[in-house]
Amino acid sequence: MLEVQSLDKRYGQFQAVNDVSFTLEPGQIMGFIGSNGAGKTTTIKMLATLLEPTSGKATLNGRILNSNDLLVRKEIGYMPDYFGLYEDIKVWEYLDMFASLYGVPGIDRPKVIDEVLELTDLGFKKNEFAHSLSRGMQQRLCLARCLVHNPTLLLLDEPASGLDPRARAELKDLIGELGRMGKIVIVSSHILPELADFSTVVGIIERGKMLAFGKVKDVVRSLTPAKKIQVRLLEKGAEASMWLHGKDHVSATEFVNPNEFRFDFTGTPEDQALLLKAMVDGGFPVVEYMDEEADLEDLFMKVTKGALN
Amino acid sequence: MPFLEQYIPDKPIYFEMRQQARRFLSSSMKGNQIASLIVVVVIFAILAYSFIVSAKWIHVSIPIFFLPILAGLMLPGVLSGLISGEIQKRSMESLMATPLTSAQLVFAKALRAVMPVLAGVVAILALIAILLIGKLIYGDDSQGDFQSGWLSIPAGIVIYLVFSYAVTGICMAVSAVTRSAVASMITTYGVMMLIYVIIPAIVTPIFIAIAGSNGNEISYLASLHPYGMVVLATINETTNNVSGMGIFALIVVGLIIQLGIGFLGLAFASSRVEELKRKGIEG
Repeated sequence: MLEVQSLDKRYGQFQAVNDVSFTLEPGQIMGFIGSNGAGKTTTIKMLATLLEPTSGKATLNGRILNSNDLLVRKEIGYMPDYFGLYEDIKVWEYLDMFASLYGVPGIDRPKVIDEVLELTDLGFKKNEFAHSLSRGMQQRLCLARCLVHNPTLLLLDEPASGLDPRARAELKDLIGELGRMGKIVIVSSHILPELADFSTVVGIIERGKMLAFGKVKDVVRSLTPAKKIQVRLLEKGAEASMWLHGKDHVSATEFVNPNEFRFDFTGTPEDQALLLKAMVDGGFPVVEYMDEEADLEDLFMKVTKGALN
Repeated sequence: MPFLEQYIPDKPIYFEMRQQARRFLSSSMKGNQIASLIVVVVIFAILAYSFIVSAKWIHVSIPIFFLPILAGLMLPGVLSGLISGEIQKRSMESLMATPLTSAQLVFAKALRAVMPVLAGVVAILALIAILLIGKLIYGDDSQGDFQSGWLSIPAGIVIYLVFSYAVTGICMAVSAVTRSAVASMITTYGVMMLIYVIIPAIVTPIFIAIAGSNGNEISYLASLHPYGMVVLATINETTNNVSGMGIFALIVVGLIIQLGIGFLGLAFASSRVEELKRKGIEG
């Protein structure tokens, strides 16, 4: 289990990470969301023991994550947001080097390398030079490198950046698979719809502060108390909108086209049903009346505008 | 498994060495490596030809004089980018996230020097062998002021190995404070120029002015410099009035100083990597 308690990082007067706390269980995949400079990478580096926190601590299965405990690093796989590959090294040699550095015995390394290459679908590139691989393959190689020592915690900082849609989809499947293998995975990304697909929990950070943490649906619900309801009519769109104005729990009507509009609604499902009945009884020919669920992208846009502060 | 690879321990810190051995033995070298090899072979062939035709007048110890130059010129090119280059191409973080200590990381990188340094010894011994073959063909008229070659050759090789260690320490220290491989290499040559050329060029005349030019004091001063040590080990004239034990003691002192430079350089590089681990590479 990963427990992060009141993690702080300060550079002089600048507070990069401010009192960040969360807990992750084995098998959980956390989508870590925030705008550039929000504190995602700093938090991930502190968890990777590459940066000392100013205060607070993180523990992995009871063991404090800090740079003095070298053995705890065997439990961590860290993929930086940008990484360089060596020019004169082949794919298998690259993995062999990191397996060696993480203390994987020489006799086990060929098997481990074959396994991670198979998992990342790079087996056919085993004897190629690492720098000759495409960007997507290099990302997968870096992920394979993070897996050679079978870590408990995987920290993936923007693993999908620079990838084409197909490579992103493959990476998404791979990360989902890692979660099913029981690993704790933290993934930071700007590709939010994809994060929502495989993340079991989500953390939203802005200006160093964790604004929300929890299951994706819970976070969406807690941060957007007003749901959006979309209505489509055969006719009388403008009249229906006027009719809704001033009704309980209704606000912020916005037209999509003359006979289609959406509005914010804060009432219960029962209130929602009563409102529909009242509209139909009022002579408005309603064709569609449906919830529009807010997604991570909506939340992210709100957060980065400071709308949730 | 390649023959040599079996003799390099399967420990993380020897990985660079194993990698070099593997690359060399499997002959899977790439463009720039092949180009470097061609340059080295051509230089060696020219030297070998010159030595064989001039063998009658060239003392057997002469190749030893190439060793300090070889270390001074070759090692900064091989080692300078080992830390700064990793920072530049942003591969350092991945290494720092492994369970290696900073000292192990620096030491493992410094071991990259071992193969080129040993190759230097082999090349010089080969030149000596070629020289001896030349002497068998053309005769020998080269004793002059030289000490016996059979003592100065092993002494010169020991001096070369220790000087290589000092240069390695300087390279790693400079590499740990610079941010690009090229800047690191230029700075390393500059630092070496300062330590081994400019400072001696300033200190020696002052020393001679104070101590006089015909005493043994100049021998003591020479012992502080790797080239001076090679001269002490090779040429009689510089040590006319110093006993054999005196020469030996002078060289030992000089070697200790060079070992100190190497150790300080590696320790500084380790502390710098440790600092990067605590504060972050961008910090």
